[in-house]
Amino acid sequence: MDTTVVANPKCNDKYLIYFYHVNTRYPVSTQSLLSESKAFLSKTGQKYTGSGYVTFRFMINCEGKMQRVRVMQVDDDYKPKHFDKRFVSDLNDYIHTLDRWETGLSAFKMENVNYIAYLSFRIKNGEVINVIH
Amino acid sequence: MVKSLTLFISLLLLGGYTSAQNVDCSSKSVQDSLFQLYSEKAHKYSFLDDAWDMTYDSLLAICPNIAEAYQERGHPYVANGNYQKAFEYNNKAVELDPARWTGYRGYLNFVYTKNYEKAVVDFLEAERLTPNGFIQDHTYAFFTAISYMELGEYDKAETYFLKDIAQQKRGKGENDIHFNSLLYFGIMYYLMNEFDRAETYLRDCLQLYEQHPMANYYLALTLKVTGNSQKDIYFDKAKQYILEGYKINEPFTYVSFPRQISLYEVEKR
Repeated sequence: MDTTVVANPKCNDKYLIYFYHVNTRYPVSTQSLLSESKAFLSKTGQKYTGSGYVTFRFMINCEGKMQRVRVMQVDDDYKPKHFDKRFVSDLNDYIHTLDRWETGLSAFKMENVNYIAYLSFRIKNGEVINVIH
Repeated sequence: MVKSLTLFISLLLLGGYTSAQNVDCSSKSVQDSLFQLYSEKAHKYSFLDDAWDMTYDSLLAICPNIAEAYQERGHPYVANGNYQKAFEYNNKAVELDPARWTGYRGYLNFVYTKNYEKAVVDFLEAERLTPNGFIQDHTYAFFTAISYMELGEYDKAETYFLKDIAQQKRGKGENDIHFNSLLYFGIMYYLMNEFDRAETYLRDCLQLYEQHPMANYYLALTLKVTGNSQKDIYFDKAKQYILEGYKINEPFTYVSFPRQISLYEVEKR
């Protein structure tokens, strides 16, 4: 998983900006993301297990590139849990296919800001049953 | 008495924990006064600021039984998708004051984690503790109904949608029903393939909020299934109203409501 960040001189990263500061979220519905992620995972041919949540928090830079990905995993009772690494890796591959992030946003009198967002996958018995964003 | 309490709390704020050894944390008025003072202090900062956390931690060091402080302390984690921490704090709030916070935790389970099983448990318990209660502009029954709908338990969902509407009509029965009660009732019938009923509720929703993007969209989907050529009118309206900035009009949330749509879906038709 790529947890690095490459500074882009076009982007303003003076302060940490979150998605709610720039009033944005990935511009596709939960239902569509659910269908797309399930289709993506089915193509891997893997059989997954476990129930709970895998949440990816990341930075979207001012050109829509995803960087500095962090992952949080909990079970259905919101207690720490580890899903199979391959499952998390495949979900990580899926979120990197998302290419409709809003760019060129402004906040706190700064233009072209990077912002932090998250996507969470609710999983039941190895199947994604909801995407939260 | 009030004057002496205010003076005492002022000394607390100045002197810190060592002066707080004799605070009567079991007194609701002491709890409320302390919470108000510390909350005013915390809200001078962003909830992302360490000062927010430290302010509530200081309060909880003095009185670890102030439920509201745990709820506030959990807010940054709710906003940023840290479910473990968000629920640790909100569970504590519920433990200390279930009548006040069970419904709110139900709302967190409903909207923030889409854990509809847990949402139903919380809303039913909240209804038992505070009958006919409301949270975030809606009855507990409204959220219970949608949760059952998302779980595919349509009979129960229908029961709770009707309860939600009955509760809104109480008194003289002349109140408008919330447009989103009608919206989700309509969506439920769409999911059940009961398209006539879906159309009725969605049109009723549009009577109250003509520019509702979701009502226009789900009505278009319903008409598409039934082969009604008016579908394009409603897809076009959904697109137009999204572009004009109309929304579901629920209190602010950091994440989407169930089955909320975007321009992406509307353009796919």
